[in-house]
Amino acid sequence: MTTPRTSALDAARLVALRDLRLAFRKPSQLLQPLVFFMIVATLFPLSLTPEMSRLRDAAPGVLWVGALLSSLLALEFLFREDAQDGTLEQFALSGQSLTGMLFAKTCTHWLLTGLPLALIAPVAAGALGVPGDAMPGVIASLALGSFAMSLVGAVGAGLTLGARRGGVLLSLLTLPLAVPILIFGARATELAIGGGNIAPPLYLLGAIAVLGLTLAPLAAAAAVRIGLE
Amino acid sequence: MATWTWFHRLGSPPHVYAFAQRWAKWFGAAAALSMLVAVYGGLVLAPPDYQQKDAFRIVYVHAPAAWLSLMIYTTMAVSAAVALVWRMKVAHAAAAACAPVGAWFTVVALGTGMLWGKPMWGAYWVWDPRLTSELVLLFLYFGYMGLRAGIEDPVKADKASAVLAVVGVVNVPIIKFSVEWWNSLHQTATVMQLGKPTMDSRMLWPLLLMFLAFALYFIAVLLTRLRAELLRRERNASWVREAVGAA
Amino acid sequence: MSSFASLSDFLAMSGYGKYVWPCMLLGFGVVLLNAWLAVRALADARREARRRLEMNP
Repeated sequence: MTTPRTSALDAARLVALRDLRLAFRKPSQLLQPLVFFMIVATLFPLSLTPEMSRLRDAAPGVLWVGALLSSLLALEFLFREDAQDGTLEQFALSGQSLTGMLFAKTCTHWLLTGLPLALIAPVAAGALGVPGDAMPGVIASLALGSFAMSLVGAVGAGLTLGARRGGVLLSLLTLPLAVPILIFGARATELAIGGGNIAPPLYLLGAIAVLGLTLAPLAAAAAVRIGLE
Repeated sequence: MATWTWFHRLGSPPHVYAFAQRWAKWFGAAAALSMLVAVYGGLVLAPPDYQQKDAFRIVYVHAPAAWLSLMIYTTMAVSAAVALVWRMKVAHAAAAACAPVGAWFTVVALGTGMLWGKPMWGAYWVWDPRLTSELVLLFLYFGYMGLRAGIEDPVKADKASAVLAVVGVVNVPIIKFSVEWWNSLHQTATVMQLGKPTMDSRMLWPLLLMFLAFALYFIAVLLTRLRAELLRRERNASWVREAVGAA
Repeated sequence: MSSFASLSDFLAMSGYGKYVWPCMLLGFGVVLLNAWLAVRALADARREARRRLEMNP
């Protein structure tokens, strides 16, 4: 464990490294949300139409709803295990800033779930008839959006630590808060597909991410503290 | 020193209980009176709208309910923030008392909005930005109440739901902005602004009075619910004996 | 002073009665319901508190 002499930055780095190492020991946990996302993306052509032109219209919605649901699944892994085995308690007692350490966990979590999701999204997008030159826009919007979603989700995951059936409750808490992310993100994806200028919605998404960056770690730390009491 | 006594009293359950006991009925009476006058003014005296005819009278419940749903959420979040910062038990009780009332008035705003939409838009539901953000607000209330119900330890439930209320209230303006932004991109031709005609003063005064009536009503309900919450939470405190007048 | 000529005019609400009256019913129904729920919650809490006090005086 960290000694009190370790700086806040070092503590955050150690937490991030530990989470990365743990994640690569259990790759199935990383793969499951991605597989889930691909399955959801497959369900839409099967339920709507195999016609590419119509799928292309639905693609932003399919990709974003799929991404939000899959990141909710992934949020289950963010704090739950560490709360159960007492790691979070050690974090809180370590004398280091809990906010900093949880922020490091959240960023690592995004690196392990949100970023991979954004990177495989073009596969699903291509299958939905999205043209190749729209892919950078798809990746950018999903990467930024899933980062904002991780920040909001960290608060939800922290709050539901003390609850009995955390899973459903986590979705109930987090999804309404994610509405702006969905709106701006899906719009950016739609513009990317249509060949428009994706900058305005991306800026708005970025503004949400920045606001989340300043407030969410504090709220998440408060939430986790309450759960640990 | 003296300026802070009211604040300390606000944190003291027996004081707040006594205050609520004394004032709830007066707020309730004022609310009932003003509501009756506003209903008469709005439904009977006000002239019909030149476009919407008498359908516009729905505004007298829709607008105050929509306003109240947002006001209650804000009140809840402010109490929650006060409770977190000053560790005030009374404020947690007040936040807990707000949520179900707020959810009910969100339902009223949605229901009356839909009933108004049918003659005006030709459908009960259109993705109007106001109705849509009202729906998201309802989900926020459900999330809050779900979290409260999902945590067994009452102290933890108080604190966790307080954090959620604060996070939620930061999000409300962002949600409203994003929904309006979204709607402006997909402008549908038939969308018509609810309740924003140039208002005749004979239409306006009952509406303003109804806003006041709903606010007074909410204070009365909140004070009553707060008393119930305080009795339940403080059941082992000595002041309860006096308050309920037991032998 | 009334803007309606007769009671049936009032009830018809220029043809919008079937939208206006359910709105009023819903709105003021919820107003009454919440008042009743609050009063009942208080009565329950008082009864419960009294019962506890009688059990351990």
